[in-house]
Amino acid sequence: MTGAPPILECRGVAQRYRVRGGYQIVLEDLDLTIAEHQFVSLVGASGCGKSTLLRLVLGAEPPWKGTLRSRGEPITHPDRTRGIVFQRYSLFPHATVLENVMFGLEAAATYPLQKWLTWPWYRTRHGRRFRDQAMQYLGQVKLQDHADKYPHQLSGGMQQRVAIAQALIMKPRILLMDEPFGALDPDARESLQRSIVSTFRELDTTVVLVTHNLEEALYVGTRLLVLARDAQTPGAGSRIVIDQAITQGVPIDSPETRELLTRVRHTAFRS
Amino acid sequence: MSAAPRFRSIIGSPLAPTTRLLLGVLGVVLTVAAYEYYIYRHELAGGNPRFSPGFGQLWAALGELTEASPRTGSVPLWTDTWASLWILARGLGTGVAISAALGLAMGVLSTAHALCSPVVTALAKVPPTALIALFMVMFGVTGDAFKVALIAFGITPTLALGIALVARAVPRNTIVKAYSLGASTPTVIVRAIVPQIIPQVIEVIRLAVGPAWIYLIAAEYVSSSEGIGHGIVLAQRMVRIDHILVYVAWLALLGSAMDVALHGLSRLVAPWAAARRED
Repeated sequence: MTGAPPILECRGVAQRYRVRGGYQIVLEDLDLTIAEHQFVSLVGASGCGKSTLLRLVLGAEPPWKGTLRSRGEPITHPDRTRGIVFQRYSLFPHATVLENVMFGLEAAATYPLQKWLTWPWYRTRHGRRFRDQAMQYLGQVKLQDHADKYPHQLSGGMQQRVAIAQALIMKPRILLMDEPFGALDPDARESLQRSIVSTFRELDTTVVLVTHNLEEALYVGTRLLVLARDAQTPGAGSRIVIDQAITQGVPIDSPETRELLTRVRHTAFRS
Repeated sequence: MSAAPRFRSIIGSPLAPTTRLLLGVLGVVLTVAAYEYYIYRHELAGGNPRFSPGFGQLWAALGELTEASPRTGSVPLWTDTWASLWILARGLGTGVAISAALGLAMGVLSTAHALCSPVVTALAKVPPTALIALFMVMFGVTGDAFKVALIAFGITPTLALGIALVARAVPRNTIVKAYSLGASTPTVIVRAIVPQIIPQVIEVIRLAVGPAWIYLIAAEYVSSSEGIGHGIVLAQRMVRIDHILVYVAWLALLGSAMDVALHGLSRLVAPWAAARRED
């Protein structure tokens, strides 16, 4: 794929929000290129704009300045080329686990308006194929035995795994995750981390994971991005202060990780 | 072995099913006792027993109302009930259809919300009974049309606002997620938003049934040849308090039955919601 435009390219991206009596700049002058098969961990202190960056990449809000492109096409709205897993509310409460995973296949199948009319016929014809495919992805996250349950019947960690299968079945160019471990207890958090890493290795996808937890970011990622504000200039937005390749799945207490940890803490997490 | 502490927080602590049932029965018993006490005081003060019918009299009144009329051969309570229910069904149906479309549009599209919400909010504050004369002029004094219109007009604004509120409360993440799975805007509305708000919409409709009855009875008071409201007007003219109380009890029963039916419908179409509430 040499020569093809990158999966994600941000040029001079800035974002600001209206606050009382003016604007607050959240992100500033942000340049970022993400290539295939990277697992990017995006960390920063709370309120530094990591989730904002993710929403911009998703297309859920327009940037104030700059351009975002995916494979050269400008990002204007959320679409199936970029999957997302949120901290909460990723699943549809009214659908079973299997229906949740099939949602994208069926939604994409009804996309041209004329297919709405032939939908019952279409569904009987392709339902079996969608079902098999969804079961395969559920197997990937080891939830094939829970296909007929509703999301509220699953634990938080299982729900997140369903959300991952639900996003991956659309074969997005890039999978975005916004604090996917945020609402989980420590045990579930650890097993989901392992599950995400193994799924990433098996499917060879591209991932951007946002977290405020530095250890987590170092464990799951192959590339570490640290977002922070310059404390010297008041009113400045966040920029990328550290961008470096890391080794996925390395224990936290190895010497090189510890050195990196101290450095990141010093630059981005001073309070 | 120490005894478990007996009292925890009073608010929100659950009850055993038998306790709940017994308390429900106690509520009925207390209500009946309160009425009996009223009768007792009324008679003690030397009041006219016509104004304080006992349960025996009420039973007799029920017999009178369910007796086939020698002139027409029909039972007045049943003809009144069917006439009222038929108007109510059409009024509720029209109101729900309009408010579902309006409420969903307001809940989903910010433009529709900005356009409609001031007008709908203002209309929701208008007592529909104030417009009876207008509806009679518009839809005719005789016939059901003005009653149906009054019910529909009465419930639509509140119902639309309620549905809009419910639709707007769908987490933004859920909608973004649906788009990111390749759904078009109609698909997001039909497959992601509508199914998950259905139980709450049924709840909002349940709350509108009470007001719908009020508007129906009010309309029947003004002009009708049959219907429960008409029956009450006749009883009023003849000062038959016993008949009025039978009609009232019947209304309470019908209303409760509709409530139970809508609750059952909610559980039937959205089994996931009931289970989720119990968490």
